[in-house]
Amino acid sequence: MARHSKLQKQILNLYRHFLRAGRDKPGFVPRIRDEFRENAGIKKTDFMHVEYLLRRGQRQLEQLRDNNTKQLGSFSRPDPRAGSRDPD
Amino acid sequence: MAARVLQQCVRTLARPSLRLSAANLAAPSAAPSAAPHRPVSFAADSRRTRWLGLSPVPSVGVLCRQYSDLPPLTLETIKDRVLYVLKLYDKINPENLQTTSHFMKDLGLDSLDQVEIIMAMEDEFGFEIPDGEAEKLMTPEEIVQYIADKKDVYE
Repeated sequence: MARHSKLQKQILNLYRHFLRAGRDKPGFVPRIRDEFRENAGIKKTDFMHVEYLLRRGQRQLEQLRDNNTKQLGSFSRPDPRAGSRDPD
Repeated sequence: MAARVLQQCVRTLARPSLRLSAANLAAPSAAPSAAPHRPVSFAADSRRTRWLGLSPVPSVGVLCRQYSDLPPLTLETIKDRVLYVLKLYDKINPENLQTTSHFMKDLGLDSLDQVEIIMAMEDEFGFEIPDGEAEKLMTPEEIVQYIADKKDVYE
C-alpha cells in the first residue's frame, strides 16, 4: 500500500486532528482509537459509507473542540459470551 | 529586573572587600562630613560603581544564576529517543524492533498506528511534522533522518 487514496488521507488527517484535540480532555483518546479501529475494516469500495462516517467525524470533531466539552465517559456492557454466571 | 537582582548578589558578595577598601580611604581623609557613621554604603556606593566599572565580575555572576538550553542533538541521541518511544508503544514487540524494521511490513501495524507513532514523535521532539511528509515515514531510520534534516544535525 504505497500511496493512500484521497479519502484515506482525509481519514488519517481526521484521526490526527481528533487525537490532538482529545489529548487534554480525559476519556476521549481510547474512544477515538476504538471507533477508528472498528471502522477500519470497511471495504475501500464502500465509499458512501466511508464518506458518511467522515462527515460525521468532522461534526464530532467540532463538538470536541468546543470549549464546553470537558470529558467523556462510557458504560460498557459485560461480554455475555464470557461464561454464564447468574448474579444470585 | 533580573539584572538588578544579579547586581545585588554581586554587591553582597563583594561587600567585605569594599568595606575594607572604604575604611582605608576614610581613615586618612580629614573630611568629617562624610563621617564614618555614615553607613558604609555611602562611601561604598561611589567605590562600588567605580569598582564595578573597573573590573567586571563574570565569575561571580555565573555563580548566581545559570541559564541552560536543551542538550544538543546528535544522530545517536535522536536514534535512541526514537527507539525508546517506539518501545513504549504497546502494539510493537520490542524484541524485533530495529532501525530498519518497516512499520507495516515487518511490525504489522496499519496506517492509524503510524499516525499515532508520528504524533508521539512530534511530542517527543517538540515540533510539528506536516501530514504530507508524515505519511512517508515508514521506518525508524527514516524518522531519524527526517528529524536530523529538520533540526540541522550533521555527522
